[in-house]
Amino acid sequence: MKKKKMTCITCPIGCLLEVDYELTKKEIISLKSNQCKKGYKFAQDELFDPKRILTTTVKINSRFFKRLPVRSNIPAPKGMIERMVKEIKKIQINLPVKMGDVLAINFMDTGVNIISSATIEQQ
Amino acid sequence: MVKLIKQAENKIKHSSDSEYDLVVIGGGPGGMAAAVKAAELGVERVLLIERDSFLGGILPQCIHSGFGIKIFNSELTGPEYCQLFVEKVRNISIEVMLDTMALTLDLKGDKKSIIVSSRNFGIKRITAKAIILSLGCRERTRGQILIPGSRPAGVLTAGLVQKMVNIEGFLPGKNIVILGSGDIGLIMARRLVLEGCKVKGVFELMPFSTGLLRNISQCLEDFEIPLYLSHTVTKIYGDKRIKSVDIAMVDKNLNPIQTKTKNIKCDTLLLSVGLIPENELSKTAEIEIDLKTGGPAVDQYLHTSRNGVFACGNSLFVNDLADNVTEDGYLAAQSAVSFLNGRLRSEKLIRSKKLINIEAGENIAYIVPQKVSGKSDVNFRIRASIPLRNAFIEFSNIGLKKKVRFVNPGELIFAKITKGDFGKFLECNTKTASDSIKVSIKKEVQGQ
Ligand SMILES: Cc1cc2nc3c(=O)[nH]c(=O)nc-3n(C[C@H](O)[C@H](O)[C@H](O)COP(=O)(O)OP(=O)(O)OC[C@H]3O[C@@H](n4cnc5c(N)ncnc54)[C@H](O)[C@@H]3O)c2cc1C
Ligand code: SF4
Repeated sequence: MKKKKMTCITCPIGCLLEVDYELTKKEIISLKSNQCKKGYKFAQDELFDPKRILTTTVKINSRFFKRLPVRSNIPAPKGMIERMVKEIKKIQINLPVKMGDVLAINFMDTGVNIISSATIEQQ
Repeated sequence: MVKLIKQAENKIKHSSDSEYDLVVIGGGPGGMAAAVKAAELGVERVLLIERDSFLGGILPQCIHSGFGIKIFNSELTGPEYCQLFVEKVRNISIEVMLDTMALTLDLKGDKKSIIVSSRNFGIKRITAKAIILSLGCRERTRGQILIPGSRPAGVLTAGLVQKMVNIEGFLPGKNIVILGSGDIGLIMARRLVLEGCKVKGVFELMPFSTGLLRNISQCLEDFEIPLYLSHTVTKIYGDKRIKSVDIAMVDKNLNPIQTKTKNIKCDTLLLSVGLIPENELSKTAEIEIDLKTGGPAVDQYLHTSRNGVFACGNSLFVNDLADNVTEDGYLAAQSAVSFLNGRLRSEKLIRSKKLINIEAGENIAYIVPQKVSGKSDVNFRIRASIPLRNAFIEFSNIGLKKKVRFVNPGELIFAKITKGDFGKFLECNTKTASDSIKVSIKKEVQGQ
């Protein structure tokens, strides 16, 4: 059995979770100090398959705006984030673009889509 | 990030009719929420004034996620949160004036008026029956924390760099030192690393971080960026461009320990050393400012000391969450509507002796509202000045204690006091005793 303390980043409260777990079985034995049940899900993911929402920007050619903010539609594998941010720069954007438009599907085989975070209508 | 909305400008350019029921100044989340809510509640002529070319305030540059958990029940990015509100603004009858700066408030006569300067129609006087101020905040700069040394380029505030990187699309430098562990500094540490910069460390004067715990975890720990508590920058070197900084540990009184100084090479110093509510405009109308928050002193309706002028958002006090700003925008709008319907008056209320003053006591940086009537429930927003575990919030004179497991300056505390609780105070204080309630945060004594 292993012990770990971690900050739950699911919401701004940021509970300091105390977890006992079994790495081989991918099992949480006990969890303390979570203020809600989302803390359990966070601990589970963080120990065995950590993920983060990815956000960055992509170049666009508009008279008014130089960058388009983009995000992963769901949390992406944590270990891939840095490489993904580098690759995303290569995505070409055609204006207009709407919030939620999918810019890349199953990006780098991670199972996540890269979507637009904003609506930009002008060229 | 948002399509420019210019519907109101043409109208106003050609008409002499510039009288509104409600004018909201500042188009960030606070101002948008206030304008939308007022229109929803049936106010006919609502005008939203914004000096920038787009709505959203600080939101478009906050490209990270962490917005909307309360209001939309999902984790959005700043631009997404912004877009959803811009759509609300567009879908309801609100007039929007972009590229327009409110210069002065004139509340002397019968009518309230605002002098604005616009890129499109020059200087104009606009009159309003009620006004909501949602002006946002500014960053503290090097001048305000007095770092000695030369004055080279490359010393920048974190929010400015956020705008450079996320909106303008260029990097401020390659080797970064960050002073201050507020949320903007933490968010920018991660952002700059992802853009290929080297962040040499985040240095915090206090023995604790003022940022949210989740940001320390996901912005620093994830990227192995070191956080040095009780450290500060004591000197800046460089001729044209910053070359290095001296970093020193500080003692209990926050004075640098000269023997514990080291020099760190860098080409950029980011300052994330605090925000100040923006109130130059409020001061033109002599609105009473609370020195603790740096924003207008308000009652439970967010009514300032001037009749019919309300305040919300970061110009009222610095918020950590846009969601809270939105809620205060809604509250300001509801109060403005009551005022317009003749059900609320400020001057009387705030000046009246019957009003209960709320004082910030031990371990409290500030508390809002600063004055309450005691005739309705009040949701106090409290900023702790130090982190404390197993503490309680004490409201003097009404003998009320509320337990809190953990308080942290990075996170606003909400404490609801009911009309009934105030009733006890009002009863026992009718004639003689003090007219204030002192609020403090104290540590629970073990074994009690
Ligand atoms: C780096 C950073 C990270 C953040 N992260 C999060 C997060 O993860 N989650 C979250 O919920 N919140 C976050 N916040 C907080 C949140 O974004 C702010 O609290 C919120 O945007 C404040 O809204 P506001 O409307 O009060 O001010 P602002 O957004 O600053 O808007 C004020 C507006 O008023 C305008 N204005 C000012 N004076 C005048 C004038 N005289 N005339 C005309 N217009 C004027 C300004 O141009 C501006 O557009 C973050 C903030 C920052 C800076
Ligand atoms: S455990 Fe629940 S309350 Fe605590 S940080 Fe996680 S989501 Fe928030």
